[in-house]
Amino acid sequence: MDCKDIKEHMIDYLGGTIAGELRCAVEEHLRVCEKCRLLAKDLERTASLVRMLDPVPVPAGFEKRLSQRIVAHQSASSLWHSISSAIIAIGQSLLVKPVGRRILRPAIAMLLLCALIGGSLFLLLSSNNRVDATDRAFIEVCREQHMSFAAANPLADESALLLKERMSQMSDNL
Amino acid sequence: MLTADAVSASKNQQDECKTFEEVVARYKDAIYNYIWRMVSNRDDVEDLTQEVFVRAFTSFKRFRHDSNLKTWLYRIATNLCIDRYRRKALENKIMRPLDQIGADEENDTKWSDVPDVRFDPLHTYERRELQAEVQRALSLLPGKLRSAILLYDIQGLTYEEIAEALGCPIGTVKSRLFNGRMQLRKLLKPYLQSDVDTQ
Repeated sequence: MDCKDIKEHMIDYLGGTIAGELRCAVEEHLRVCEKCRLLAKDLERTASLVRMLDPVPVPAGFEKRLSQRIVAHQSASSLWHSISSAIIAIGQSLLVKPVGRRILRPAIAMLLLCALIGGSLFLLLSSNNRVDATDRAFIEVCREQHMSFAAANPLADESALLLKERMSQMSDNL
Repeated sequence: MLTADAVSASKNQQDECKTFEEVVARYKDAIYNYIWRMVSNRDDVEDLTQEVFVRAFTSFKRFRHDSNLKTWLYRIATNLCIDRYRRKALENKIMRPLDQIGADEENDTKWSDVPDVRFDPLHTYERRELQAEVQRALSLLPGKLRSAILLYDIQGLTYEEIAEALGCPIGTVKSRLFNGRMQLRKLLKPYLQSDVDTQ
């Protein structure tokens, strides 16, 4: 066992948590190595200095102040819980009461039905009104004209300028 | 009276406490002393101790019964102290000496190599003064090393309990103990020499 190994086992050795061959090996090294022996003694003394620190008394009235703080903490943290519980309770009481059930449930059903019908009509009308028949025919004519022109003049587009230029260079070379 | 009679800890845990009042009665001194040694500002000690128990109270129902109540409290206390230490360090960063910047690293040293005149043993024969020097040296350790030293040497926790309280492996606990004592050894060198004369 060398000095490096000793450092790994120093805390265990000082704490008395190693025994047997390992302890004997540590003790043997400490017997022959003065540097490690001094280190062990210093660390032991350091620990004893820390252990000699006197306990500090807890101030009087600690429990009372703690109790007040816990109560304050509880009331603060339960504020939102109380509000949400109250809202839920009111809602439940309205839905559970016979009179409320008779009035509210059909009303909610009617509202949902109106929303469904209104939404469907809106989508239907808006999609129909977007392009009327005349516009659609005009667009179709334009598209056909464009397609026929592009088929007849494949190099008339601006994007074909580079291609035309390259072709003219090739013909010049030939 | 604490209104926590309904809240009870698990019966199979090592240190059984039936009510939260018993938890406070049993651990308030240990937690208070631990925090006293962990933070340098004395005004924070009671506040932090109370905060530990408030947090413990609010999560007592969710307390993992497979862990130790004592280590759980120390874990809360350690986290609170380190958080408070970091916040204070951040607030005072502009005013901290250069040799203390970055001292949160475990192996970083916070002290200067220049000897501190207050370490003159001639002026510190009295036990109280010696304790003040030890406390001062402890306060110069990085939080992680300080907590390991305090939990082992003062609070008397085992390696396993410290590992649980600090949320790290046992090997890390031993490493922190060793590094912590090595740093304390440098800081308290004048007080160690009286014993060294026998070598």
